[in-house]
Amino acid sequence: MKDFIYLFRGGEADPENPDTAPSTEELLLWDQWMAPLLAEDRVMGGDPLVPTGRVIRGKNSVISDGPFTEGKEMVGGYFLFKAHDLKEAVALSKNCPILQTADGTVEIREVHQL
Amino acid sequence: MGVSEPLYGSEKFFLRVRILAHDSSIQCNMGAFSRHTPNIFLMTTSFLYLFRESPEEMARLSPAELQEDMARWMTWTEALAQNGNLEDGQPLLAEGRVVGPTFERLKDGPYPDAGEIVSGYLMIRAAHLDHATELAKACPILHYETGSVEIREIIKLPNPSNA
Repeated sequence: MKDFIYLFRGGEADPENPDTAPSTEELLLWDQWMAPLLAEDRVMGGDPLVPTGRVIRGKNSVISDGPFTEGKEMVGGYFLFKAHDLKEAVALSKNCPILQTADGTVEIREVHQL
Repeated sequence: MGVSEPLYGSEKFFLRVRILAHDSSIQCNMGAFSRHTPNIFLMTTSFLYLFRESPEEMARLSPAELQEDMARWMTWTEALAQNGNLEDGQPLLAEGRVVGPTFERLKDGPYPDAGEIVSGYLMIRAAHLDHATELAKACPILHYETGSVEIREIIKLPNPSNA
């Protein structure tokens, strides 16, 4: 199997206050989604991210507080897991709770094993 | 030595380094005293670096430039590893997919972030956001005009796989 990463964007219950803690119902949905992946020993790790941070950009290494992107564009969390190929990695996201929100997206990328 | 005793020095020492670690006004150059202090204990927070670059700019590099680029990444990540900062990280392949609400297929390929794409990630341990920022300043992606590093603190949830 190969390693893949999901980058989650959007899907905030309250986009004005992105650090609002998720509800118990929401956490249970995530647990339900993740249970078969854990049972199949696919999960390598994954966590949400603090909504504030920094960005360093370009040759002049300009530092800004960021990300400055809109809520739905901002990466809110990541998930590292194993799948046979991109097709399977995409299929495993089908019941991910973020896709049951109004603007949540999942970017699916294969990790380049060096 | 009892199990409950700290591995290095006295508790007082630990208290002092913790205070230093949380004072963001102090310039963090952990490497300077890495030989004799257990600096791993200062670095209690995990951060995610998200690297972005424009595929167009990277496609213009010659094979020799790519080799130099690779060497810079090796040097930088080895230094992070030696100082106990490095947890994990890999580049990402350029292909991928973006799916949206109700599993709608939005795009084949990476998420388009204003012409730049996420090209890799790194998880590091650092004392605080200023420290993580300082460490990222030497990142080789900043050799390029479109290169950037986004630095985000990871919210550590209890790992369900340990339950």
